[in-house]
Amino acid sequence: MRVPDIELKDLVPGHGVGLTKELNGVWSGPGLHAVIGRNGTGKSTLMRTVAGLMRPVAGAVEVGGRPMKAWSAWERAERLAFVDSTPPRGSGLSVGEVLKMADREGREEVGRQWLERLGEPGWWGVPVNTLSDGQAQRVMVARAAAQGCPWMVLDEPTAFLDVPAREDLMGLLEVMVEEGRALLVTTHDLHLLEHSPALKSMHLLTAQGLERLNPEAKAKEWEIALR
Amino acid sequence: MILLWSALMALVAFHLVTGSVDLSWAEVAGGLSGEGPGVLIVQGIRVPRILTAMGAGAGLAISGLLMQTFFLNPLAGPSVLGVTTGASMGVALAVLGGHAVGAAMGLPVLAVSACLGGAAVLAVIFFVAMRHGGTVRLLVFGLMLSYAVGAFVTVLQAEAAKTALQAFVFWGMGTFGNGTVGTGAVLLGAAGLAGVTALRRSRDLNAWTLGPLTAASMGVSARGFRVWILAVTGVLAGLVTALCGPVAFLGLAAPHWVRWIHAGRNHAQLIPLTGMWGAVLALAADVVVRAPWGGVPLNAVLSLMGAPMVLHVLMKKTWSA
Repeated sequence: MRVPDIELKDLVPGHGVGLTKELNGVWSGPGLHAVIGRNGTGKSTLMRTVAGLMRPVAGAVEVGGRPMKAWSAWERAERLAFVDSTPPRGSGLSVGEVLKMADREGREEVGRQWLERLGEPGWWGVPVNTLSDGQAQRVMVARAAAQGCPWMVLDEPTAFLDVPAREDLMGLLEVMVEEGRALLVTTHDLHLLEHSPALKSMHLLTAQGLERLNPEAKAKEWEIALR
Repeated sequence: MILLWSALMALVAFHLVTGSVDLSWAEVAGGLSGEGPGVLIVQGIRVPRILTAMGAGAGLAISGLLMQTFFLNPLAGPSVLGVTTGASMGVALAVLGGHAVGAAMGLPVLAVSACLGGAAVLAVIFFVAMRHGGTVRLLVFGLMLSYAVGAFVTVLQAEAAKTALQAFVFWGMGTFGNGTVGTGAVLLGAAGLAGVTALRRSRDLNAWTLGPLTAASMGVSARGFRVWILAVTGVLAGLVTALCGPVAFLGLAAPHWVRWIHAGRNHAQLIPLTGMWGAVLALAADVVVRAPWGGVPLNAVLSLMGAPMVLHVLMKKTWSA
């Protein structure tokens, strides 16, 4: 899977009003790229902007050297899959229907395979709105994986999960990295990242901008940077 | 589906033989083929009425389903966006402005002015939708617009001549009995066309139930989707309102009825089922309206059928698109 670079060019994310100073930087290559930050610094807004789902206040996001706004919705969906921080609550579709439509060719076996990897093959016929938030969130991660993109943008994918499920999800993300994908992830689970061999880059988001942290450091050092 | 087709056929057959004059099967058959004493009743009254009821029912039901999916809101319906009220304003301007209602010459004028009225409201909704994406905000905006336009209609009524006012009030009760074979066919065709385009977009509709952001990330062009939904629902509601008056509850209740009876939530199945059930429910309501002991207005029947259904939905804890 060829992974295009994601480049931020003087990007100011926000809803009408900018949340940070201009952000510049490049995420490149397969692996886990993490963004940490305090509540309210605009991590979710940044993720949505990078995924092309929100227009920035200023600046641009480029994927493979092409500005995000030049991609059509469908072209974007071939390159970037996105998992929102809150799982859907209103959909009565079955898990299987959701996974099947995530694959661009609507293949059932792709969805089945990801449900297998999620460790929940029995969920195929279960309506999404009967799952708990944590369960639905895991389905959304499998759904994004089934979309088959080189990039996946995940906004706090572990937020609704219990401890074993967090560790399982981390394992699933590592499987995706082994497949040659790049994952951009926001999280507050510093200890999960600390033990992950897939972690490739680490950034701290503040109102002042994106600060590069050492991905090989201990969680303790990241915590100090957060304060 | 077979059951649904048989229900539809049974209602059509029942509709053909009963009425203010009961016809025998032979007379109906003769009427359909253009012979015998049944011709005037069958071809002139009952067939147009059946076509109108089916087309209006299917159209309103599909437009209700699309709105509920789009707003992820069980209380969305063709009247909520203010499109029905906008169409009413068009009709009010035509009728109270002196155009005869009921006469065959009046219908095209009504249809055009209702569609213009609906389209005027729709244009405002379009503008708001482009600027402020929020679906809840749009819903409230539609309601407020509906109130404002409704007030304007009331002002028009106060200024109107007595005969025109009477005609407008009768139109406002709603009926499937004002159409011709031509207008019935137009309604059925519009509903069918809307159903086919919706089926082609069923992946978009399904993805939308996961939330607008997720749908957009799966390749749904949010702006195009919005414009398409507003156009289809607006035209369907405008046409039906022009030809049948403001019809209550059908658009809101028919999709709930389908979700109550059928387990699936995939739009590839929901769309044809909703269209069919809309036609069946409209015909069933019209059977009650035309019953010999009846004389009950259409909207009263539909409200009695629809309101408990919606209450039932609200009592349930969870709701799903």
